[in-house]
This record gives sequence, C-alpha cells and structure tokens, in this order.
Amino acid sequence: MINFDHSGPIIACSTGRKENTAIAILRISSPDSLSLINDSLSIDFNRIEDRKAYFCKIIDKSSKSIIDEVLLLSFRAPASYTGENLIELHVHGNQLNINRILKYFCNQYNFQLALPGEFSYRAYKNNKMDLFQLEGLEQFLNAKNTYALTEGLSGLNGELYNSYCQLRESYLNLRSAIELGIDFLDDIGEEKFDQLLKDRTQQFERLLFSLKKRTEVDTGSLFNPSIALIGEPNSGKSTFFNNFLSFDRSIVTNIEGTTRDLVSESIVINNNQFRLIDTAGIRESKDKVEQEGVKRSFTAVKNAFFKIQVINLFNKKTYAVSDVDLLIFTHAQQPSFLEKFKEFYSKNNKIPPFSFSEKSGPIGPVWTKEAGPIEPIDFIKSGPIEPKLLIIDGPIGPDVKSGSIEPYIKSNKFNDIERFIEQKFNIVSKEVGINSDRQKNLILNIFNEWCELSNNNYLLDDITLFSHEFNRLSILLDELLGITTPDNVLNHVFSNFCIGK
Amino acid sequence: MFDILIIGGGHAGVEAAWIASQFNLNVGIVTLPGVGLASTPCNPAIGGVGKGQVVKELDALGGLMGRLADLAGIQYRTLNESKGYAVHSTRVQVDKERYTEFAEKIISTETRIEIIRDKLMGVASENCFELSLESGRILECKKLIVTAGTFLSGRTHIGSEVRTGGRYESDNSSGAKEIFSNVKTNVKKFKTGTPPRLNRNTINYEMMEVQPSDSNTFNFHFSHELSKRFLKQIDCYITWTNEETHNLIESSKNSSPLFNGQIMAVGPRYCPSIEDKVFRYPDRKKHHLFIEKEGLDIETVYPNGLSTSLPKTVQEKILKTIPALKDSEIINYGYAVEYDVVDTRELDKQLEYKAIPGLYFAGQVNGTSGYEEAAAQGFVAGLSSSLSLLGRDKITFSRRDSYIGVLIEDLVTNYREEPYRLFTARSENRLFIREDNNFSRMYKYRSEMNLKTKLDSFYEKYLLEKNVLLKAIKSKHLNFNSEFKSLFDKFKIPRNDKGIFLEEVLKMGHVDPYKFLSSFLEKVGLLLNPALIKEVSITIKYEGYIARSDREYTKVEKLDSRKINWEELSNSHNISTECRQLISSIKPLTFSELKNINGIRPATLAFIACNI
Repeated sequence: MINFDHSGPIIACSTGRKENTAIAILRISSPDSLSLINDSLSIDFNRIEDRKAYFCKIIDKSSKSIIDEVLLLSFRAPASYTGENLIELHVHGNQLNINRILKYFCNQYNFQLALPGEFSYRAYKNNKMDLFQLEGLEQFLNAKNTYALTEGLSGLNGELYNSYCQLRESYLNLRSAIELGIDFLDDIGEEKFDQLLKDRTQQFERLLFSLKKRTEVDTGSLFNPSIALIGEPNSGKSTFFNNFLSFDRSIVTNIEGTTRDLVSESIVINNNQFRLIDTAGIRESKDKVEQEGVKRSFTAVKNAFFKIQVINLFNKKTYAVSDVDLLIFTHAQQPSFLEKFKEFYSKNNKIPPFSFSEKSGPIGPVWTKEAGPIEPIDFIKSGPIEPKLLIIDGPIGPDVKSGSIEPYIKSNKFNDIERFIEQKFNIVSKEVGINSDRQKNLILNIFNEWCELSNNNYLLDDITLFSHEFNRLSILLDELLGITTPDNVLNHVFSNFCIGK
Repeated sequence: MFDILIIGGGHAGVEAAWIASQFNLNVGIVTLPGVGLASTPCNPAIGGVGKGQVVKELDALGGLMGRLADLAGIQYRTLNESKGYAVHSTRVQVDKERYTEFAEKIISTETRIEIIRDKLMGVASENCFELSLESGRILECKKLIVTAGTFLSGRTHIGSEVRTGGRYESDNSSGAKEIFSNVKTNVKKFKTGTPPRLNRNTINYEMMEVQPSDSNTFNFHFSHELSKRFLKQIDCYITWTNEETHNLIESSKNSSPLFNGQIMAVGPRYCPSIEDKVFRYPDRKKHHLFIEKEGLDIETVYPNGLSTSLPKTVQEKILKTIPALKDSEIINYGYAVEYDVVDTRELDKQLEYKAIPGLYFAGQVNGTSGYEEAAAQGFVAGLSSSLSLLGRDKITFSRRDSYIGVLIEDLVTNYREEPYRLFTARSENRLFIREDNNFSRMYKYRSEMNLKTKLDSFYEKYLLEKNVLLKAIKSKHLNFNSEFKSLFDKFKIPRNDKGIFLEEVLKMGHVDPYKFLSSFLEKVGLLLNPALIKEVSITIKYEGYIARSDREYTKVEKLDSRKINWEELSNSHNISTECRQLISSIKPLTFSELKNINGIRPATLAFIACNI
C-alpha cells in the first residue's frame, strides 16, 4: 500500500511535465486555510470569491520580485475536488517556470510535492468519490484508446457498476429459488420450482457470460478493428479477400504460399471502418520472407476483432478449426464436397450441430439447421462463441485465372458476412470491455466457479451442498461491488496511478 | 421473593422455568387458569424444517422440548430426505393431551418451580418487579420473563365474529398490558390462524393416501433409545383441495376477514391460510392437506393446510368440496388471531429489554411463529436471567453454530414486518448446523453452563467415542481385493491397484456416507451408536466444503464484525435518503447487521465498507 502519511498542504503540477506548453496548471490542496500564501500574491486572497478566476502576480516575498503572472482560482472546503481547501494556479507552461514556482512554494510554506494519486486519494478520503469512481478515474487518465476512455467514464458514471448490481440481483434471485426448493417446495409445487430454477439460472448465466465476454474484449482491437482471414495455404483466402473488397488487391494463383505477407485494405461496413487483412497461409516454409509473413499473420490474427477461417476441404491438410467467428467453406461446387464435408464435420466438435438441406443439388450458400436458416448466434449471450458457417459454391469470385479487374458485384453471401461483422461490432462496442484487472479477475473467478459448480452432477444431487457452494459466490460478488475491505482495492488502484495527481 | 417469575406457561415459559430451576433458583410460572402448560393450540407437531434442528439443540443444552415430544410422539417423519443430509429435519406429531400432561408432570416434580394459576392484574417495578394477581396475591421477583404468546391485546376472528382473547374462548391477561405502557410494540399487529378441527369419526379415510409413521427416524432426546416409540404410532393421511374448493374461496373473498379489511394485521408468509394460498398462487390447482389426529384418545383431527378465518358456513362448504371430508363434522371452527408484538430491536442478545433491566421477552410475543422458536427463546431468556442473577458471564449463541443463534440475532437486529419462522435458508452455515451433530455444536455452551447432570456425562462419552472413530477412519486404508470387495461393488467404488482410504470413499459424490460407513462397521463387527456413525460420516463428507467456506468467511467476517456508527451514517450525505432511514430505524452496530437490513442498497454497503 502506498502511504500518503502526510496530511498537510500538497502541491503539484497537474498538467504535462515533459514539454513546454503555453499554460500549466498547478494545484495546492490543504486541510487548513491557504490564506498564508497571501503575502506572495498581488491580490488580497482573503477577499476573493470561490470559483472565480483572478488575474494576479506571484511575488517572491523576500526579494519582492515577480515570479509569474497567473490566473488564480480558489475552491474552499468542502466544495472542491479533494474536499479540502484547493487553489488552482494557471501559470506559464515553461518547465523551468513550473519548477521555479513549485520550488518557491515548497521552500516558503513547507508545502510538499504531491505523490502520484495523492489528490485523488484525498478526494476519496473525504468522500468525494467512491472506489469505483476512483478505479474509473485511473482508467480514464491512463486510457490509451477511445474505448478505454468511454469505459473510464462509464466507471465514473456507474454504467459498469449497474451491470454488476444486475448480476448480483439475478444471483440473489437464483439463490432464493434454490432456497425455496429446499424449505418451501410444498408451498410452491415441484413444477413451478423447476421452471423458476430454469428461468433464473438462464438469467444469471446470461448476465455472467456477458460480463465475462466483456473481460475478453480487447479494447485495442476495437479502436482500429480488423477482420483477419486465416486458413491453410491455398484455401482461397486471397480470392475471398479480393472479392470482398471488390477489386484484385492480392495476387491470386493456385500455388501454395502465393501470399507471403500480410495484405490489408480498408473496408467500410455500415459506416464503420475496418481493416481487412489477408494473412499468409500458415505453413512451414524455408523462405525467410514467408516465415516472417507467417509470424506477422499470427500477430494480426491474435489482435483481430473478427476472425474468418477459410477452408478448402480439397486441400490435403488437416483442418483444425481455430477460435474464429466465421467458417467459410470454398469449392462447394465439387461433386464430392458433401461427403468431404460430412467427414470433416464428424471430426470437428467445435462446429455447432446442423444438418444439410440437399434440396437444390449442389450445396449452395446455405446454412441450415434442421429446417430453416441457422439463427444468428448472439455473440455475447450464447457464452462460448461457436463459429458460424458459410458454404460457398462455385469459385468464390471471378475465375482465378482470368484475373478480371471488373468490379465484382457483391452477392448475398457477402451481405451475410457483413451482417455478422456488423452484428458483432455493435454488440461489442456497445458493451464495452472491462479494463480493471481487479474486476476482471473477480468476474473470471465467478465464471470459473459457476462452471465448475454447474458441471458437477453429484453436487446437484445434494441440493443443499449445491446451494452451499453457490452461496460462496456471494463473497466474490460482494467484492465485485466493492463490498469488501478497502485495503486491497486501494492498493491496486493507487499502484496504477501515473498521472492522476 | 422469587428469583425469576415467568408470565405465561407455554413452550417458552416452560423452558425458561426449567432451565432456571437447574441453577437452583426459585421460579414461578404465572399462567391463566384453565390453560394447560406447554399446550399446542395449533398444529400438534414438534420439529420440522429448521425447527427439528432447534429441538435437537435445545435437547443438547438441557431443554425440555425434545423429551416431551418423544414421550408424546405418535407419528415420526424425517423431512427433506431427498435434499441432502444437512437439511434433514425431524418432525414428530404429538398427542396434545399427553404432551401437556407430561409437561405438567415434569414441571410439578421440580420443587423449585411454583405454578401460579391466576390472572395477572398489574405489574409494578421499582427495586424489583411486583405482580398483583386477581386473587389479591402479590408476587415479587428479581427478574421477570414475559412469554405472553398471543395474549397481548389478542383478538380472535371467525368470519365477522370478533372476540377479545389470545385464543378462542380464552381471555387476555389484561394486567399484562400495563407493563407494556413503557415497552415498544410494533405498529402493526401480527396475525396467525388455525384450521377447523374435525370429528375423527366423520372422515372417509379410504379416499386418502396413507402416510405411516417412520420407524427409523431418531428420537430427539439424548437418553431415549434412538428409535424407541413411547406411544402407539398412528397413520396420517393426505388429500388435496381442488378447483371447486378454490372457486368457493374466491367467491367468499368479501366475507374473509383477511381480505375484507377486518384483519389489518400481517400474517406469516411461510405458513399461510388456505385463502392466502388460493389468492397468492392462483395457478396452482390443488393444495396438500395432511389429516392428522390430535391424539390417541382425542376426538379431533387437525386438517393441516386448511388454516382459515372464513365464516363458519363457508368453512362447512369448503369441507363439502373435498371428497374425503365431505361428511365431516366440525368440532371447533378455524379462526385467526391478531395480537401485539414487542419491537424486538429493543432487546439484546440475552432477550433482555434494554431500557428495563431484568425484564425479558420470549416466544410469540416477540413476533415469532412456532412452538420451537418460542421454546428456544424461553430457554435463552431463562438461561440469561439465571446467569445474570448468579453474577456469571453471559452466554451468547452464535449464528455460525446454531439455529438458536440465528433466531436470536435475526430477532434483535431487524424490524419484523411479519411473523418470524425459522427455516434452513436463514442460516449461512447450513452444512454445519445439522441435527446429527447437535452435541458437537452445543458442547461449548453446555460446558459453559457448568451443570453436572446425566447429560454432561453423556457428552463426555459421546465426544470421546466420536474422536476415536474419526481418528480411526482417517487412518484406515482399504484394499480392493479384501473382505470389503462386495461392499465396494455394492457402492460402485471405482477400483485401482493401490487401494483407497476409507475417508476418500466417504467423500465420494455418489456414495451415501452414512450407509457406507454403517455397512463397513457392520462388516468389521463394530457395534456403535448409529447416531454417532451418522454424525461422523456426514462430518467427513462435508468437512472439506465447510472448511473452505470457513476460510472465506474469516475474510468476510473481518469486514462483517467491524463496528459502524449508525448515527453518523444516518446523517451522511453520501448515502441515499432511503438507506439513511433504514439505518436510523434499525440502528445497526456492525457491518453484518447493516448488510442484513432488508432493502439496503449495494452501493451504500460498498461506500460504508470502504469508509470504516
């Protein structure tokens, strides 16, 4: 724990300390009156009004020389950021000047230079903000992209806090359903109880999975979202890439390893700009350039917002399905495709169950699940994402050899892909990720405990034991809501402060 | 001068008098003439979910209730059998006449207890309490325990018939009211009800499902043989209400005192009247009715589940809709009673009224429902007042190890909106607070009482055996190709080459630990007390879970036990007005009490947690 033992006046420069700027802001906070600095000001500090800007001079009280011309604002306790008496000095932003003024106040009045986070710490101590606002502030100040910024703000506003409250609420609802079953089954009846348990479990899981998803959202990937095409060499990524872009950007041949490096282009889907990345097919190669390309492919895939795996079942490779958002099968026009596909399907348990419609001869771009199109899977709500399937008949675009430069008119299948991408983007960007490591860890803990709990059949046999284990989650949930001893939270927050003076 | 006087001779009063007499104090019970001791005016059954545990606790502490229930028991059941050992609960239906007879007999043989059958006219308190009775007699005492049940401004209702009295055809003790001029009662009266009693010879038993008494259920009392029955056991019968019944009740809504505004009091949500059930669960087409005889020689039958205060004619019509009861004759009509209850926030954990030292309240007058809850409070009040008289240290029950502790803490830390009933979910430590380990849990309290009775020698023997057995099990390693082979097969224990520790087997998810350990001990020829085997096997099964939650609890407890300043908080600008009101009305002293306030917001908790 960082110690902010000092309780007397503190001073710090709240704006950047690296470059010279036009104006810099210094803040002084003190539990006691600050009128002692009156003898260094050209105006009567005791007669100025709060929250009004006064132009004045800072005068060295021993040499009577002018140090700087400044704008001064006073905020008297408790109506200030820290809850103490606070003065803001807008000084000229030359670093030498700033240093001189800081030094002057420290020497003359025994002010101390504030430690990182000390102003906020005082605000917290004086009930000006709660721990969540503090955590949010930390993120806000340290945010590296716009999403983290929004997230920081939402922490300050309580959006995230509300969703934690909702989770806790639904946890309590589920808990009370379980308890009803133990103590009052006769009153509510078995049927009603089963229904209640089912509904409330679903509700709890939905909220929990959605929060868990939010811990996984890499805010960086949203700042500049990219769509990565991955797949075995020569599976048709580049063909797809070109057609999706509607022009030939990648060189397309039927030789494995044609694309040896990343190729990327901007693409706009429903007013959001994405980077479409065609990765080098992943294969072992002696070619230095290709090796580097594969390496870069890995990185690009890792950071991608939306991952599409392209599979050509006629490649003599094993087709491991990666953790992707969409699977596309090419060369579906080949007569033996269906057979190949069934074989592939039976080997791959990651693919959601569905059956084929064979009504139109060769399989078209269908994705059918029993009867009718596969319901678009809600990315967030369904828990672990199962990849969607897209099967493309015929060559995906213009004949590979013809190298047509005619703009390709997008067919329905591309609309569907765009729809998927847009859908995920909307959901993910609306439910912004969680940046606080402390909260992330807690949510993951709750998630893991829940998975372990709900998968243990023996526990379910002894409902009291199940309830006992389930009740343990309340400690984690309370902690998530900040109902916990402040020490560990504070420690975490203040250890991350860098500029939030 | 009495050491302790008790107003009321119900379950609370009897327990209070009994335990105080064990400390060699002079005790008197003032009870209305014509009302028997420890009577069961409602359901003639002791125990039940969460309540069986309390009776077991009382028994291990030296209370009376378990002993009386065994002696008068005519139907035994273990409730919650399918829901895990932790919540198994004993319920014993008793012969209500004999229950009172046994209570009178035990109390009257205790020479240090005097029973005064008289009506209380007034109470004065200066240096001691002075009770004036109708006969003109004046009683003095150092400590006064009030167990007035439903007799504080009691009023009974059947349809539009309203009478004063805490029970039908019983008067109130008007004098009891006086001492309450200084005692805070809840703004709203509480309400409870009872079903009509039927003539046992006018019921068609063939049309009902039979539920025989369970011969395996253990007795409550420590010195009774585990499954011995003292009286002839009887069957109980199950039938159901139907849509016709529900339609009738719906159409009689206007004549129901509960719904037409005649009764404004709040009833227990957990023990609702039939009209409550019909209106609250409109999608249920039928409700259970247990037809229970009230005694071996008594003419009346108690239709459990048919509690009502509807007019007499409607009660008769209701019975006509139920085939098995259609010809039944009502001997006593069902009625509801409303009564004043003490604001229990004014009591401490000893149940002493904080503003009037020496005055204790226990039982239904504190807003609880149920004989068991009443008995537990009576015991606590009797014990506390005795210890205080003797100048000894207080004994405070903890909610971590007893339902008594749960009950007391819940009572004195929260404003009661409705009658309080114990059930297992009220405890945070349910895997540990079980019926089977009552001796292990109560030992520390009982030994603190420092009484040397038969019970205390039983403890010594029992706990010694328990430790030996536990130790033996922990070191026992079994081979798969041994005489236990058939046992392993029977319990489907997966085989391996190395063998297995007995302890591991008992912890396996699919193994019933009690059945396995019993079979195992039988195999090795060890004859032990089955209750002991039960406790030890379940203890081993749950110990890992309990230990883990204990560890986590210490973390929480650090926060929970922190003192808070409610006065400061109720003026804090960082807390919503609503929460501030709750805080200033409940006056919580610790964080845990704060957390348990109904309706307190998480944000408030988080704020306070960070600022204490």
